[in-house]
Amino acid sequence: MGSYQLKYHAKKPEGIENKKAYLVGSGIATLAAAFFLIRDGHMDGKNITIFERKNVNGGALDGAGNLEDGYIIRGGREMEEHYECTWTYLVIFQH
Amino acid sequence: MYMDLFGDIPTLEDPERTVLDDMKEINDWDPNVSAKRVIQNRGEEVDSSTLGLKDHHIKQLTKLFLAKEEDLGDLTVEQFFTPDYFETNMWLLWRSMFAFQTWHSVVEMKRYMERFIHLLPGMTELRNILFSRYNQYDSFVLPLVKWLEDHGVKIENNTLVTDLDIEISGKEKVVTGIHLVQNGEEKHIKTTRNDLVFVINGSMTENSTLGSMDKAPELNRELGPVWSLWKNIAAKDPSFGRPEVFYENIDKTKWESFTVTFKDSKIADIIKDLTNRDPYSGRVVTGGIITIKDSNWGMSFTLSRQPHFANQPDDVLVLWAYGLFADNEGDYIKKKMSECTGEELLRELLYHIGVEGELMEEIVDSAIVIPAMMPHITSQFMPRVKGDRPEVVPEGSVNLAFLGQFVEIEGDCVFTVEYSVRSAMIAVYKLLNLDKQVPEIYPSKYDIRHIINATKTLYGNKPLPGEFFVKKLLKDTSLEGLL
Ligand SMILES: Cc1cc2nc3c(=O)[nH]c(=O)nc-3n(C[C@H](O)[C@H](O)[C@H](O)COP(=O)(O)OP(=O)(O)OC[C@H]3O[C@@H](n4cnc5c(N)ncnc54)[C@H](O)[C@@H]3O)c2cc1C
Repeated sequence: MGSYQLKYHAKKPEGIENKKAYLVGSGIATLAAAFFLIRDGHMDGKNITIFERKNVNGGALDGAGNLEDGYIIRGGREMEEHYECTWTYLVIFQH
Repeated sequence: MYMDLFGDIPTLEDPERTVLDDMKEINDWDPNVSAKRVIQNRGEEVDSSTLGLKDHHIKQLTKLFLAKEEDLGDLTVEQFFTPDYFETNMWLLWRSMFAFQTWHSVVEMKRYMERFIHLLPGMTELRNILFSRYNQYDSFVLPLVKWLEDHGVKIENNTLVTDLDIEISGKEKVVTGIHLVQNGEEKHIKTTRNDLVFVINGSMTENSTLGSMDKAPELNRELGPVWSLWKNIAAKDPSFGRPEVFYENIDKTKWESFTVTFKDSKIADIIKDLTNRDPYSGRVVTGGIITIKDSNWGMSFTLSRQPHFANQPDDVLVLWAYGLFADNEGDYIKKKMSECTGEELLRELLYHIGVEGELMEEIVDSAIVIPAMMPHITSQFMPRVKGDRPEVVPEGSVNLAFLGQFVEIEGDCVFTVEYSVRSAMIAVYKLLNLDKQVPEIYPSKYDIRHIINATKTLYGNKPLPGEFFVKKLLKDTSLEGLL
């Protein structure tokens, strides 16, 4: 599969303005779903709500701390070039 | 500040660059290569330059490659291979790199072999593995959340979802309500078939707990809310999966990691001796994990590019380590890993890299260790059969999708970021009925070039059986050079 499929912009789904999306969890899966709803599904971000039980977002993808208390990551991620869905997602700007 | 110290590091956090640009830029500038992949006897390098397979192991691997998932069922890795496979370099490298245990699903191992066949030739040195610039909260989560919030998305924290109302009539399944507890207060949201509901069903970090320098992390055996939500949903219809397959065997799915903050530079010399690399260079240091072969805890550790945190001072180093066998006694600290304080964990690690006496005391005194116990960290690897994981959009679902590591996606591998993102893409495209395709999984297992290179690697780069004749056959043809 190449550019023909990947570069295609999906047509705006009928009635998307009247839909609301509710997402449970703020891990990468849910953050990505919200992103695809907006970019590919033409949904207005204002109609999207994410529920997260913690007061930190990101789920498994963590990283916190400072010099006084020490730093903490529960894990670090090995990745590779062919995370085909991830890289089409991470094209957003850093700021 | 960093520019002075790390002269040629590409510009940090340039707003004109995307997360992907940053990822590629730093990995092109500093491609990962392992400094030493395996050590033993307190710092001595173990030769792991080949996978160390015998012909009958290669036969077993080939058999696994060709087997059908439904025929393998819920077989474990241990049930599939002969016992001596677990003595090979390949297993040592494999299990430490992916946190695979002998009691895990051989179907998942098969998927890994196929999905990442193009990485097999680099496996002994961890080549072609990409690492983000910082920890993944700083490098990924922050920009992603900011993008969503800039686009109007609301994230409501301290909000626990406990159950869904699902109307099942005929072939249709419609979510009609969401039950939640927000800041301690029970709430109910009505949804219609016009709305969309996405649920994370399962999490490898559920109920994870932290310890400290003088306290071991407590293993939490309670049923975490991510599982009880899935359990409540699963009770409504068989197409919603079987969560207990994944959450029930905590002693088969737990392991422990710890993060060390070194404030003193003494550790730098030890790391320099071990890796022949400068930990302050801004480049990868250990180059992925270093595995300690004779560690009874099954310990591996890594020093990633420093600084690993955006706010980390220049002279501080942050190291990560983990052990596959939290219930085993240490080799220096004669206690189960799970019972050790942060200080004891660090001492065991220092022992294994050859540090002792006064130096050990000095390093321990100026370090902070935070242990993390994760009861479900490998739950996604538990043996499973069809139906244990729901489809992303279950049969007949009008407005409900499951996301994450515990859904069924043909051919892709769990314990990855990619699997979760793929689930999200499938969910959105399907529920919105978009006229757009999800990118296919990189089809390297059908590419003869990758298959040949992987086979060569299995044979320790010695000539393949029949290679001489095939080469002769292809000589002076357009396919010459394939082998
Ligand atoms: C130690 C470790 C090492 C890893 N190594 C790698 C690696 O090398 N390469 C790689 O690609 N991947 C790796 N991963 C895997 C990768 O990080 C995960 O697969 C991915 O981040 C999971 O994302 P997710 O969104 O599916 O779930 P999670 O990140 O688990 O997110 C779930 C979120 O939902 C919330 N939640 C759950 N239930 C509820 C509820 N009922 N109500 C409200 N909120 C709820 C949770 O609090 C959490 O924030 C690793 C993970 C860990 C932990």
